[in-house]
Amino acid sequence: MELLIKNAYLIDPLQNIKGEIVDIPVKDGKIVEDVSSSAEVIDVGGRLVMPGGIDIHSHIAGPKVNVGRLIRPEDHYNSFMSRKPSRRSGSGKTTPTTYITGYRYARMGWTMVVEPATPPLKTRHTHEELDDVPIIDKACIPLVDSNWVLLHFLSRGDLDSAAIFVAWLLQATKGYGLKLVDPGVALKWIEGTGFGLGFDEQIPIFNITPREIVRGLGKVNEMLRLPHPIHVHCNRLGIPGNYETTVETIREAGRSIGRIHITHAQFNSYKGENWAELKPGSEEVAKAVMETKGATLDMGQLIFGTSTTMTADAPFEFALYHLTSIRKWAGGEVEAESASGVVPFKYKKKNLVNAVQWCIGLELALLVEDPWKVFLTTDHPNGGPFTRYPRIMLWLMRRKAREEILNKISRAARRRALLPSLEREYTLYEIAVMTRASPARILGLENVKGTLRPGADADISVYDVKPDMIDEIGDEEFVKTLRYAYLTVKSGRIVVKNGEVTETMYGSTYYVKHPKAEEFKTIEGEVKELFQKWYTVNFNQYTVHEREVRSLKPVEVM
Amino acid sequence: MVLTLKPRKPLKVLVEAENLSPDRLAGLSHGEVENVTVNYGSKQLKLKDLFEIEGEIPSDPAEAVLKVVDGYGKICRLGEKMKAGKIIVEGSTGHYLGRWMEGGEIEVHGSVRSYAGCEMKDGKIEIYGNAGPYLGGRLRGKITKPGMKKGLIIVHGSAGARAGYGMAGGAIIIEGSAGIAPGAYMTGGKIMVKGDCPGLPGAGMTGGTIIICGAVGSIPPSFYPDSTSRKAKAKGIVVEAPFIIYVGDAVENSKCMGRLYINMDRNPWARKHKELIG
Repeated sequence: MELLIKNAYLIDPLQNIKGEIVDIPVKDGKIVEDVSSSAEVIDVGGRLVMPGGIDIHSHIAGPKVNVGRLIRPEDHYNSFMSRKPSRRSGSGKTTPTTYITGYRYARMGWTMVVEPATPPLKTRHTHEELDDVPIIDKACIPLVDSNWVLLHFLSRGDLDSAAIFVAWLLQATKGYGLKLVDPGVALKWIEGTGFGLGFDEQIPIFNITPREIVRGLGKVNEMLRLPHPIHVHCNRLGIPGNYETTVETIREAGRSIGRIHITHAQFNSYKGENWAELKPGSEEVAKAVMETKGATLDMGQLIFGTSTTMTADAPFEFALYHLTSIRKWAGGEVEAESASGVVPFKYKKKNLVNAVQWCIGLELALLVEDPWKVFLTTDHPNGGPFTRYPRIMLWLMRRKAREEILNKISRAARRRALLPSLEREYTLYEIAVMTRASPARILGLENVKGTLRPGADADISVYDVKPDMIDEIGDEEFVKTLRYAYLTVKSGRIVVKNGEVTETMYGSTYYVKHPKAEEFKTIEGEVKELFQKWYTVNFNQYTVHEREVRSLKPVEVM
Repeated sequence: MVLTLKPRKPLKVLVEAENLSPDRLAGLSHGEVENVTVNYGSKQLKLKDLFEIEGEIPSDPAEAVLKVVDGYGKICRLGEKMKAGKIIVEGSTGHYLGRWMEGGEIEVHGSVRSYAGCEMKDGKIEIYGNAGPYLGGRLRGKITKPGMKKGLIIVHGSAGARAGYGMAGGAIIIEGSAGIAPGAYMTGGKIMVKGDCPGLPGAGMTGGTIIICGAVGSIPPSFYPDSTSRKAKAKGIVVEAPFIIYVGDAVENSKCMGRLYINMDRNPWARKHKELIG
């Protein structure tokens, strides 16, 4: 099938195109040099065209998302999409069901989403859910920081065995990278403690510190040359004064690893002794990220309104539960691997802490001068639903829109924040970098995703606005334009037209296939013995087979 | 003048009839009433396709009377957001009867399914048969939102589990027995159960009054005996019996603002607690 998108005002940072009127020929799901005259021609008349968006951190599937759906029926009462011939129905605002997750991303022009935390033992479930998410491409990143087998190797200082195990684990679970959530916290949580686990505190059973876990797994990650750097949710998340830990983590990575991705940095950039004295620590974190060559961060921006917080940092969720008035909490434990918690939360404008949090997210994005180092996320659904990305773009691109919100939030927060003094406004090009090009690069997929060069996947989003008019339209219209794409093309097929899903198709699930996994035989005996000791699950049933996942796409590491 | 709706054929699946309330239909001509939409399963139908329509409806909502012949227990959301008028249901009806109702009256000569009077603000519902679970309650999950706020629900039969779940005001009178945990998480209002209750009345309550005249399987352990009374009253109905009054639920609120009346004649175990009252 051939397609020709004519008169596209293309912004493609990976090709260094900052806005040119071009024609985009598509054949068999790929961008090509030229198409025959029989191709279907769509004239977009100078509208804004970008490669399909990539979300690097969004909890859309997996056991804890499902728990979130279960404990929040009220989230599903008023938010739903009804069935149409082209799509299925679904409900939920902060924890949407699988089908509408895909539809909503596609309607926004996003075509790839990474589920960033899945306990390896339950990754089969994650894949089952990801298989149901239509249109978008997916990948999932297994949690490894509290994996007992891995810690067993790390505490021994045996990085070679750890590397072989990681390579095997990624292949066995069909995962894409390494996620570290509050390194080591699940082990501490066994004792019922672990809230505010410091970077240099000892962890029971393996007598190892979070610093050693980050360093060890970071080194393993670089030894294996995995496409994605370690994906770190830093220690002491959500505790005032935690910016020091975050900066220390970045500096440690800069010294001994080289690459690191700090995720939802907003939750990790708090200054002050306690909640009443909370101040933004975004300046220090942004500075550390800019000074460290291989460091990147994503915003984890907060949206005022309801959200469902879910993380593998179980003690923090338990502490958060005692702060909320909604009085719901779900805790989970995965044997020898991880723990988790789910708590519904409401962010309020007049609340000092929430208002400061809102400022920190935007400050981080504005203070990191290099747009290639910062990504747009809300840590869906922790900070708010992903459908609010266009609004964050508005805040980033227009100082006036930011100030409108600043006038409504808690006054004390406004006095403490740096945000009122920041004059920077993002350009469309920078938005394209932070939502398209840079995530593709950090996932190691810059040849196929996040760009429209010949040979790349034909994932295209077209917005109903001419770039020279973008500064003239009103705020609400701006949000609406970016929220509902004029056209979304996924793998060469038109899936969204005028903001409505016109066709349901399924994307691929990316995973890393590493040759080192073949050396697994050398440690198989030991791992099997540990499995016998620590797991209730049979070793042979641990592996997710290729036949179990819909259209897997291996990324081979040489 | 009464507008009567009679199903043309037996209803096999649930009917979503949120538009059927007397104040919303009031003043509509016969032709307009025929074209009111209802959902029959997954299909959207006009009222005339599903029901035989007789009579007319006056333009004054307060005088409007809507008579629905159901008998299959399938018509849901009758009288949703109703402000005035009267609905008479001949036979049983489905879920969400009088949900978010703000006034008027509903009379059911049969049974209803779950969530009757769900989150109602005012008005009166009288059910001559049995009621399903969550009578006068709130929807599941809405922990911070109240259930029934004001008004009166009378059930002449029995009620299902968790009657008055999260209720904040008004009164529920159950002539028969109640299911498990009547008045769970209630914050105000009154529930009177003339029959029995299998257990856990008022679990998690932080206000309001529950009166149970019959036998009770058990009460939550977080209730304290407080005093005794010779009679209990609710909406002018007086029951004379030796009642012991418990306060609670201490787990939810240490102030123990909830009141639970248990009949000592029918519950000999409660007599022991009388000695604990100082």
